[in-house]
Amino acid sequence: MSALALTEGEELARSLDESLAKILDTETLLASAGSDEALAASTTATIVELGVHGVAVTESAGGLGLNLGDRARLAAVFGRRLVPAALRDECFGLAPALAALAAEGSEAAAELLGRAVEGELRGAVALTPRPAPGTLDPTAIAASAANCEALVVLGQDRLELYGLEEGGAALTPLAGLDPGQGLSRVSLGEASPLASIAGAAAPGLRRDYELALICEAFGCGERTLEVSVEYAGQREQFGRPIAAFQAVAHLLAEIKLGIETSRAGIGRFVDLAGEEGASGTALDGWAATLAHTVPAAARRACEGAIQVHGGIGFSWELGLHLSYRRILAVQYLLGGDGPTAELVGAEYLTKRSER
Amino acid sequence: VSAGPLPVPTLSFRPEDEQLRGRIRTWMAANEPGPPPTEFGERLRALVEWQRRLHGAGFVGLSWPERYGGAGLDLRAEAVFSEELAATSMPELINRIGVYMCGPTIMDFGDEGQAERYLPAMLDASESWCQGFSEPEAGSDLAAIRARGRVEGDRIVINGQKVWTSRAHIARRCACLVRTEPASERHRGLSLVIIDMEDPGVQVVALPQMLGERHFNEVFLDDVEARVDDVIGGLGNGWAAAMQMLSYERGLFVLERQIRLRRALDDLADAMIERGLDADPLTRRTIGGLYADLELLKAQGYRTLAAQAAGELAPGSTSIDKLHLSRVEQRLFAAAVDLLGPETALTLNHWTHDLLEARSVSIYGGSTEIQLNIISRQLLGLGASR
Repeated sequence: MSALALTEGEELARSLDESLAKILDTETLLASAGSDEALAASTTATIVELGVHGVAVTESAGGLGLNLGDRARLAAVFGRRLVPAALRDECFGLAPALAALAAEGSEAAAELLGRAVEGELRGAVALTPRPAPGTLDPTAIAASAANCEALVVLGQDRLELYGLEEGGAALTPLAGLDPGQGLSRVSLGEASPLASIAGAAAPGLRRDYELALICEAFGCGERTLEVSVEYAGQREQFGRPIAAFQAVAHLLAEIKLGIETSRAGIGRFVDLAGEEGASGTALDGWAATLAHTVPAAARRACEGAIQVHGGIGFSWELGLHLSYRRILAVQYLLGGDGPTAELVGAEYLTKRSER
Repeated sequence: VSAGPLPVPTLSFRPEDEQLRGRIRTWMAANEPGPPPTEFGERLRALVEWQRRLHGAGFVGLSWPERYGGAGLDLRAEAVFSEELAATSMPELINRIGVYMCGPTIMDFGDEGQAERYLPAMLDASESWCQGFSEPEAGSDLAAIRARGRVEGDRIVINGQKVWTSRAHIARRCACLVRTEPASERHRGLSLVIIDMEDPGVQVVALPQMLGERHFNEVFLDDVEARVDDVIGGLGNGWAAAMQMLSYERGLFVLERQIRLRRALDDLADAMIERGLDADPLTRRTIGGLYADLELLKAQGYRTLAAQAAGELAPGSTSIDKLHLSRVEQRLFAAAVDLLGPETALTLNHWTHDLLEARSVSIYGGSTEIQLNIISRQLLGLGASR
């Protein structure tokens, strides 16, 4: 596709991808993972300057007013470039949640919103496990930056905002699978929310955030396939590029199969969401399907990438483990492989038995 | 190598498409043909009659131009029809090879004379079509075609043998891939010729498949006479025309197949509910995984049709549809028989029938290995590997 044919949203994604590639080089990411510390404040500030905190907020609330398709594309770019999870959550979870709460009349949210859109507010997002009722599972884990001030809890049918300053809701850092991301255990204690939304808007916001995670995993997985294809074309063994061996070529083709069906699934979700009178239940069903299939395909892509790279693929310095850790983290933030399948199955079987 | 587009467009239905769906549904409800006869020959006859009636109602060839007997609509309409047809007790067109593959290929590559001669009779199944591609020495390696076509003035005299030819025994026409340039090799020098299956030189011998049913055949061609006028796309252009035809096999076909698989999954779900096992975590996981994969198959089918409708179908992309279909189909029936247990597994019933039949999906229309080759070469740009 020529650059001229790009839409505004595609152009935005392309330039963000290029900028992030320069800021988040492998060396920088490895340093953060190695010390299990967040990126240097100066690096984060460079990303914030790109205006990423406005990507999932409407224009009236000070954001970019992007449509769902454009947001999906940008979330995939976040995945390609391994943007820190805390930044992802601020952009795709915290800021839109504050905008929704402010629109519902919450003054506390309105006060925080401006800073959130500018990228000046540090906050975290916790997703309650799907099958549970609206309350937060005490084992919930969220990514968080240092000096977090706010926590958004995205429940099944309820969205809540908590302050993190005084005792009450708290984030306790833990040794996370995805180091450098500030993975923390969430506890709400006796805290009461500063603001909340119950009703139709809450599941929509939750779904949008889940789609961002799904697209992040997709982008991350697709990137590992690109890297593998390039490597297989260059690396020679037995006197020719390893891509010339069917065992390698077919492994990569299998990965491509998962990536392309995932792409189709995300496309279908975006199209359905854009249809007039799209039902929340139907969209929830699609989101659950994608939560099961897309991270799994991304995971296979990354596992295949490690395999195709051989010994170097297993090394610290190549950094494929960063992608692998991120994809696994997303897969399990969304519930995990088996549980997400179980959820899809339970919903479908329930629907059948009610006929 | 760079990121592919996201999100990709998929088929979306407009109000007029939904109106069409309503019309088809009403007609189907009033004309539901009932379960097809179990005897294979009778079943085929019933299917021919069913397509004739569907055509009479104006539903066959919805995307074809009106001048060829179609309705002049687009692929959305065709998808709506496929979906509604798949929900009936006779979920397929007996002449699907004609309507969905040979017909569109003639429209793309053929000439007006061929279109006028052959297209209308495809729609009411008065002339069924088959596809003469595979040969004993040309299976996955299709370019190893040996059947010869000797051009003599305006005639072509054909000699050779085809195999695995689905429905040859009920077909009146065959789109047959033959080598018309004697010294040519591989993909060059091939022509896609329409032959009359009633020609005295055509001999069709049944090749019962592993279920004992007569789906496909050997076709012996002994001085069969065809006309140069009946070469689709002209002499020597057979490979391109044949590849186009194969890509059509993976468009609407996959959508139709997906709906039938979804019906099978519904049946499985109902059986598990009946046994009181629907809350069992293993049942939920297995069925949930299959459901999700079928949803992706549908999404991929809609994506392919949207690309086809926009004239932007990337070469090789339909191998994704075919490969995913074969994976899901084989997994579905294996899981069904496993969940339903030995009582089902040890008896011959539609589950075990479909379990056996599912072995064909990863072979027909380009085996899984060929699809993986296509994906690695055409979609990933990797060099040739065998």
